[in-house]
Amino acid sequence: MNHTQEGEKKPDTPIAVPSRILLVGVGGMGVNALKQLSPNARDYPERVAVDTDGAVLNACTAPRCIQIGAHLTEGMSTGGDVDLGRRSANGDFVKLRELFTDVDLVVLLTGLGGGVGSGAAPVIAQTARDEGALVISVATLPFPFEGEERIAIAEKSLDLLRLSSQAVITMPNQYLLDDIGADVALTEAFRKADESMGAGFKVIWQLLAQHNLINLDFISLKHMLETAGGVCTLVYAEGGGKSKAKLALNRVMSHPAIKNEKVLEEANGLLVGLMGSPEMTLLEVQEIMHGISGAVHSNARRFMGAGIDPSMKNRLSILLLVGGKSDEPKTEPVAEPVRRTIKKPVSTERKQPRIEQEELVLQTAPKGRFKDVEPTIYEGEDLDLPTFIRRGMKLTR
Amino acid sequence: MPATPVVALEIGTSKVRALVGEEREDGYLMITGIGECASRGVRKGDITDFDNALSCVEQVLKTAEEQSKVSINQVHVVVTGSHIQGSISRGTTPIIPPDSEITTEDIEEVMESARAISLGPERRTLHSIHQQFFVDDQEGVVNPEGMVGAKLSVSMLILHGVRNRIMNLLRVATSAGVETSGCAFAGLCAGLAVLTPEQKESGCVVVDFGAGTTDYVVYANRCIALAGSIGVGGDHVTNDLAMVLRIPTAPAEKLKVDLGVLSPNVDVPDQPVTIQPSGGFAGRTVRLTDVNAIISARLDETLGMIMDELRRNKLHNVMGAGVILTGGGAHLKNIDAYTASVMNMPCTIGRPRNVSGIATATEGPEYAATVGMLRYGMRSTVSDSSSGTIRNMLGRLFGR
Repeated sequence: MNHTQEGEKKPDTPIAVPSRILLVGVGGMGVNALKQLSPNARDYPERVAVDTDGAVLNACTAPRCIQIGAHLTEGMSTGGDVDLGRRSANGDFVKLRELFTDVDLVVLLTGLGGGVGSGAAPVIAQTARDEGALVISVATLPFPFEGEERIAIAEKSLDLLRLSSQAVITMPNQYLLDDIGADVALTEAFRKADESMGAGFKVIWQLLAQHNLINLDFISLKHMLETAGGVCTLVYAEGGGKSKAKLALNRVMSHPAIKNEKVLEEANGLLVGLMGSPEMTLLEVQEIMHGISGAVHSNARRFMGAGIDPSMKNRLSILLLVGGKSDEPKTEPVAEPVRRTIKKPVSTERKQPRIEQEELVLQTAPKGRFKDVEPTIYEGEDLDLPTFIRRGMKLTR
Repeated sequence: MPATPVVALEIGTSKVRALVGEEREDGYLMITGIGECASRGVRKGDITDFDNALSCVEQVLKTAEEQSKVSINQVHVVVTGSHIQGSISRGTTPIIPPDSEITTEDIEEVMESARAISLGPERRTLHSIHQQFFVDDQEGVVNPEGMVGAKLSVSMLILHGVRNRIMNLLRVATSAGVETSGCAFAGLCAGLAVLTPEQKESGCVVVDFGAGTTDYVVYANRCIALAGSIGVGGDHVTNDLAMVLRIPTAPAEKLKVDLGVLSPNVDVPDQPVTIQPSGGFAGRTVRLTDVNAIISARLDETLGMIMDELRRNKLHNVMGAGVILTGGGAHLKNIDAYTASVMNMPCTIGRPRNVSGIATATEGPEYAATVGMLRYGMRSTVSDSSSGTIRNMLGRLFGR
């Protein structure tokens, strides 16, 4: 009797997952990426699709859809108008804020370059952050053939996204092109882009949420993202057959995002996630970890997780999240730490050297008579703080 | 026939005001009573302390009653706040049978469809102002009644705000024992009070610099093209000075009022400015260049936001009459020259027009919104009795 009670009291070991995670797909690309995660929906966190286009939302499989800017776009797409995207999100600010109430982690999936992805995503990220959530944005950058203008738009909004999220993981589609080969069908290329984003997140999620051989917890992920200073590269590869470990490792190491940019050499944080069939051997794990570790700086912090997915059937997948390539956003300098004072989110620590400066700014940027009233937020900036300080101006002398 | 007095109430961030006025037969506005006091319990246009705001309202209504010798039962309330936004909505209806004459019912229907935009449960429409009609593909139709076509469209400017915040403003008035017979957005009111028909005709933007918010309304292409509110006002300028220079609010306010702003193309003399000691503050010497930089950074940004909004809507090139500044912020020294140079268009200070009576107090730009509310209140009383034709509805806001 006593025994059973004890058994009931102690259910499965608690999993280190924050109480509420929201997976938000923003814009056409983000919503499509959600689809890739749909098959075994039971295992995934709450999924929410956000777009202006009613048709996209109707076709999506997410249990919750939020249409923004319906009165601006008449329920159609933004037609690539970034400003319209931004205004759409701003216009439905209240709806979005409600969405993020009591959420601990928001993973925002989006494709930059389009109207909603580039315009609305930074606003949505900021809203989530203001509500106290940790925001990780996963963003794809356009294919080179989509035009210079689109790439310029994407880069500009990437900077904004970096300001409003704690971490941004970029997945340039151009690498995908190198990876899958140029002769692949166009639809296939776009599908692949959605898929690799979805698959990458799937591994992270599985490692966080399931019982694993080597557990990866939420805190490690958070640490990793913080050490990375908000800039991450994500690579996902699979290998099959007898030498699946070697194959997957080779694919990861020869991935253009890793090879061309030399991110591993300069990384200060590294997360390796392995997902394999029940037959995955220790040797395989060792081989992969050895192969990757050899390429990184010895000071880099390493995190790893390994799990079993019975559906993998003689395949093995590697997810590599590399952080800390010195690729700081251009617009960041002084304005950014000030914005952080809008409402203290979960944790806003960045790389070590930054912390000091941040505290200093906090002292000099109080809100005076506006400290007790609702902040006036305009394009992610708290207008109650002196413009002089937000623009990084200095007193003479 | 003796006109019934109308009462306008403005619960602003720095001042609470009540005006009692009558419309004379020659169209002049006769102000017969004024109540005014420093506002307490309002920040950025929103009520933050209900009881304090209520006591201010009671006080100003009492003064206005005594002065005008009427008993105030009904007031029109000026509404502001950064939550107020303008959206342009377009409605379309087919004319059945096609190519027949457009009737009043068609017009009603198309306007109804344009008004029906989804704002979310927490917002309510404050004004729906029709801009222009389209008959088939013909733009800029003023009155389509009697025209022939297959399709009628209308574009409307819908001004909307957060229901509860508007209700809070109105509740202060009702708690003071008066009925609220209507409310209108401060920016529109300011436009009504100060603009000449020529200014409206040639296109202009009215910027009402309040203490808590900056409201704007854009007249272009013979209609009200845009309107909105930014939650930044004169208080922010004062607060910026206080925060950056680390001085108390009172000397910061004095600094702002005394020095104003210098034109961006003027070399600012690097001279020291002494702040006198007062009430526990030991006094300080700051530099004029710094003071000017702090103030102009804020003005640049706020005016820039309006300018962006004009550019986004491709209206910046049709502002023939330029910027008209109203509100207490229009008193800032040299603000007109500064605005003209930042926005690159002519700029004038707007003062209420065609007002008589206790006029000395109502000539200032800070009275624009409240005086405009009187005008709006009078028009709405008149057009309620006459039939609501298109021209009347247009007339109410466009002032023609």
